[in-house]
Amino acid sequence: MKIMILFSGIIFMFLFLSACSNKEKTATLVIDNISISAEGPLFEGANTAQGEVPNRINAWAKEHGIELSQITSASLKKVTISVNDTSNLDLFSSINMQFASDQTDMIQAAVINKIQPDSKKIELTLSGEQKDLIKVLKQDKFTIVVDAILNKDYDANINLLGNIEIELKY
Amino acid sequence: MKIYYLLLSGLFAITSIGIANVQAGDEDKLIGVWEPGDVRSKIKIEKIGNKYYGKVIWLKIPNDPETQKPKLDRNNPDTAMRKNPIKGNRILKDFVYKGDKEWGGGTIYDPKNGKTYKCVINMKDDNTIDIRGFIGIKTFGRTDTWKRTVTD
Repeated sequence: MKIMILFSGIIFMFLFLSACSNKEKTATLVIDNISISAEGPLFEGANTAQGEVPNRINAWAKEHGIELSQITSASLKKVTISVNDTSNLDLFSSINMQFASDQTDMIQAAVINKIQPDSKKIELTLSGEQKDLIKVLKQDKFTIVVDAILNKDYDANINLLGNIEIELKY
Repeated sequence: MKIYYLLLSGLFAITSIGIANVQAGDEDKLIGVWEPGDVRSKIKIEKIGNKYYGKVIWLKIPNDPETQKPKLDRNNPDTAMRKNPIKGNRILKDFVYKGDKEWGGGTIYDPKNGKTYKCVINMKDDNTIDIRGFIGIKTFGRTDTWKRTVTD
């Protein structure tokens, strides 16, 4: 009987420890100060600004002591766009951010269609289409594509700063 | 004999460079502004990285007759996108040049029903392309002919 209780205890401990060790962890990868620009002069209507993002997830994984293959999912937590010059974001009536790379399909990331007057920084509404985000992050580089509707002609370059927070599970 | 080989190598090199130039030129011929068959919109195709993407830059009827405001992408399956204007929407995505004036591997989004289809583009001449959207295999699909516009 004692042997049975001892044996059951060992099995219980084993199961408990296994469950604990498999518990999914969550962390945030921040990709900030991404330069997104469009060369002017720009005309009223649909325009595109782009910014290149070098791979950041490799360094992040190394820093956290995990293998890339251990990361099970990635999803956007927060996306903001700001300007650091004299212009305002109310130049635009809508902004649509996507991620593109040569090896992955383009991902719809975030969007905003109502921009308050004199805005210097805006938070975008996240898209539901993020299932392949982890593939994009694992590329050597990817391109942030910002499609924006300009309210009027703008006779200069547009320089935006993008900040992206991504929740990683591993 | 050496001169013969030298001439042959030179001819081969010149021919290769010529072919490469023709192919490189054909690849980017897709870039520009195109008008679909119904002439109700204009689509600007551009290259990002090594792929081609197209967005709506003009609509014949830009405003919704009910709201008198810009037409929105109401049928998009992604709820976050439904308040986004159709003008500016990227409806062609991820096309790769396959050779012989064909671009494939991409998708086309139809704002009328909110559906995305696989798509292949064939250039008939420098100013005409056939865009075929399909489900599964190319046989089950629909082809529309687009013309390059002068606003390019």
